[in-house]
This record gives sequence, C-alpha cells and structure tokens, in this order.
Amino acid sequence: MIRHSKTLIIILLFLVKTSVGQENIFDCDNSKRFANYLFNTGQFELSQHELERISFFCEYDSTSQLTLLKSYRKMRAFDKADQFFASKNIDSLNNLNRDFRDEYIRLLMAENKYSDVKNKISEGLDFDQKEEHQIGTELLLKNWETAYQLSIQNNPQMNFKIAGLRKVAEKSYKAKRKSPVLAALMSAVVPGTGKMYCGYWGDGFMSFMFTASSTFFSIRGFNKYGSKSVYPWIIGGLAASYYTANIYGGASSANRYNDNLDHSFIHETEQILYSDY
Amino acid sequence: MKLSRFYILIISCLFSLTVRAQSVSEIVSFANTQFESENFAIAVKEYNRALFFGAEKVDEVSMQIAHCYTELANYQLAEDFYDQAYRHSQSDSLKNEAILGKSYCLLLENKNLAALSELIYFNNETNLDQQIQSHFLNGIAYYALKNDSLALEEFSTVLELSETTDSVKALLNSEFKKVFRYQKRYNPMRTYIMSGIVPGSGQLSVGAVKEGINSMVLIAGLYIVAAQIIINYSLVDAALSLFPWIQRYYMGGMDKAKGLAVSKIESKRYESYEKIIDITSPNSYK
Repeated sequence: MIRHSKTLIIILLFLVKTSVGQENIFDCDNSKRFANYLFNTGQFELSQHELERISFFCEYDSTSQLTLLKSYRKMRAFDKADQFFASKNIDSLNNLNRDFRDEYIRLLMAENKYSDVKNKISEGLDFDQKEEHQIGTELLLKNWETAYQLSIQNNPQMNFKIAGLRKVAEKSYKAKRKSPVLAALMSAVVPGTGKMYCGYWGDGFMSFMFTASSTFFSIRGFNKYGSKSVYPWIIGGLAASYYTANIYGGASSANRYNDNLDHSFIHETEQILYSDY
Repeated sequence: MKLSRFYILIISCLFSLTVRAQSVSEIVSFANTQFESENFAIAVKEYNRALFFGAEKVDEVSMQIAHCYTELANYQLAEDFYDQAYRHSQSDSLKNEAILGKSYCLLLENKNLAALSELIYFNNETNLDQQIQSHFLNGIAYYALKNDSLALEEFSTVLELSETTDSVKALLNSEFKKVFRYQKRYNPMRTYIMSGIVPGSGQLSVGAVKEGINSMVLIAGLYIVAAQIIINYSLVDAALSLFPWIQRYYMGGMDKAKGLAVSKIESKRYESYEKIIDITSPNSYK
C-alpha cells in the first residue's frame, strides 16, 4: 500500500512538474515554436523580433538561426543577414549545414549579387539547385551565350526549373537584337530609317518629315534669299540639329529595343528561379 | 483509499490545465490593453502568442489580429486573418465582421471587384450596424467601378437604414446628380473634337485656360507661318514643311484636351466622393 502511494506521489509530482514546465510559454522551446509559427504564417517582422529575442536569451540553435536569416531576407534586412556570413570563407561556408548554404545563395540572389553567386559556384560551394543558379545567374547577368551553352549541356537532373531556364536561354541567345551602330548609320543615310529598323515606324516617319521639311525650307531659303540672308541659315541650323538628333535617336531606339527584349528575358528568369524562394 | 488517489490525480491534471488557460487568457488581456492603447505592433504579437498557445476563442483572437494589421496598414496579412476568423467562427455576426473587415482592406488596396465578391457572402439577417456598413462598402466599391446608379442605390440604403433626415437624403441625391453630369459636361470625345475644330477650345471647355491659350497661340503661329509659306512659295511647300509640326502640336493638342477632360472628370468625381462619404459614413467608419 505504502509502496503504491509512493509511486502515485512520484507520478503526480512528475505530471505537475511537466505541466507547469509547459506553462511557461516564454521559455526557449515555446518561443522557438512560436517564432516558427510566425514565420510560417508570413508574419516575418514578428518572427524576426521573436527570433532576435531567442538568439539573445537562449542557447544557440541552428534551426532558429536559419529561420532568423530567412526572416531577415524576407524583410529585406540584408545587412543583418550579411553579418552572419561576412566572415566566412569558402571552406567554412562548405562546412555549414546545407540549408545555410542554400540560404546564403538566396540571400545573394535577393541582393542582386549575381556575380558573387557565380564566384561561389566556381570556388566550389555546394548547394541545392546549383545548375539552375548557374544558368540563372548567367541570364540575369545578360551573358546570353554562356547561359545557352550551359543549358544545352546534358543534365541528368532535369526538372521544371532547368527546362524553363533552358527555354529562356535558347530564346535569349537566338533573339535578334538591333545594332545601335547600324541604326545610327541608317539614320545618317536616310533620316528616320534607324527608328523604323527598330520597329518604331511612327517615330521614324516623323523624324524623316521634320528633317526633310526643315532641309527643304533651308534650301529654298538659300535659293531665294542667298547665303547672305540670316533666315536660311537659321532654318539650316534647325535642319542640322534635327538631323544630328535623328542619328542619336536611331541609336537610342536600338538600345531601347534591346533593353525591352533583355528585360523580358530577365523577368522570365526571375519568375522561374525565384518560384520556390 | 484507491478512489481518493484517483481523485488527486484528476484534480492535479485539471489544475495544470487551469494554469495554462489562465496564462493564455492573461496574454489576451494584455493584448487587449495594448490594442485599446493603440499599440497595435505589440498587441498583434501578443494576440498571435495567445492564438498559438491555445487561446479558446480562435475566431475572436484572429479577428483582433486582423484589426491590428488593418491599423498597421498591412492589408494582406489582415485579409488572411479575417479569413481565418471567418472559418473558425460559428457566429453570423462575427462572420459578417470578418467579411466587412476584409472588404474594407480590399477597398483600401483598390481591389474593388474582389471587395464586391467578398460582400456577396454577407448575411443580411444580422444587426443593423453591420447591414449599414455592408451597404456603405458596396457603395464605395460600385462608385470606384464607376457604376454610379448602383452606388447611389447602396448609399441611399445606408441613409434609409440610418434613419437620417430627408435633407441629408436630398444632399446625397443632389451630389449624385452632379456625378451623373460629369461625363456629359467634360465629355473627352467632345473636347477632342472641339480642339480639332478650334485648337485650344477643348482645353478651355474643361477649365484648363493656360493649356488652351498655349495651344491656340501655338497653332495660330503655325497658321501664320503656313500663310507666309503659301504667299512666298506654294501650298505644296506649306503642306510639306508644316506637316510634322501640325502633327505634333495640332494632333498633340487634341490628345491633350482629351486627357485633360478625363483628369477633370476624375478630380470632380473625387470631390463628390469626399462629400458622399461625409454624408453617408456610418459611425464605425468616422
């Protein structure tokens, strides 16, 4: 009987201890669970604050640290996240848990540090979706040919991301870009044609009309008033300025056309690459 | 003896549960205090903590989180929590509050159609205040979507349910009469054509005096130049040399007049909107 009573008391004490222990919802374990909940429900600012509190009061825990880094990235507090990785060379990075390495790459991508990602790949940093990031960074750096060459290499790990990036790489490499030099030359020969070559037909026509009409006026002025009159010189000056501006405009149109084209490829790349970030 | 041990065990278990419930309810109380003091950033975290650690009234706590996020202008998260409150609630009144809250956020994000879709789920068999709010939000959404007849209907219902005086109703009707006239008075196509016939007149008709005179002077100058060219050279010379200028300034003036008319309608509509909101706002939105 006494033996059973003792057992019961021990069980009761254990239950009370456990239950009271669970009640401290501000302790480290509960705080970590709470921070994870905040992160998973998209309340990144709150998860960041909770995890900063945890990192101050509780023992180091890699899962919380990783969630904190993710929260920083989501809140675009890049400086704080950078501090964690700043002192790490390639060896210490490779010694980190794979999730940290993945987060490091995502952080660099979020900061548009594509060259740094490229460097880390060439230095041998191992992380998830390496091939995808290889092609992706080349595309984002507008290295269309390199991206295409990388994309046509046989890749045993074909997935929707690689397939998508391969398509973008092919399109971007094979896309016909406009030459600013050719556009400028065309505009020099026949005003407005440089813009027409870039597809801006209306602008090209107006450039032609402005330059042609002012030139026509100037010639007529010289014929009628002679070179001693100021009037044809003023109109001639206007014609010369239209002509020069038209050459510059031709080259600018080619650049604008190319920028629009490149931007569409970059947008597609971002859509694919960041789909699971 | 055996039975007494069993009771002790049960009581101790119940005691531990009580302690837990008490601590969560304390957090809710603290969050409520912060909410009342308008410390929404603190309140939202504490409500979340209570929710995560097992607050009993998930719907009410979710609603409070949503309210906090609305105050903090984080409308997307507010919408998520209004949804959560709606899903967990058994009460029609609370469900309606969630719908109204979410619709309000959607309207603030200029997602008027989405707000209208949300308001379809509103249950009209509830308290009067919520009905008024629902009609008010419907009115705003319809007005933003330029469905002015339906907007008037909704705002009129707000006044009817609020039992306001006839003079206020008359005020609303007169403001809507103005709204109905804006499209006719500042018709963009008419101003476009007017500027085509007499350059600058379209701009003047919508009250843009500076732009109108500017256009008139510019085109008049072009006419003078054209006349000079015709006198000195020929009609063909004038046509050839002035075409690009005319295209740019004459046609450009017409486009500008059309754009000004559209802007004028928008600004007038906004003026009226402010008055309508002033007239019809339920107390909860004041």
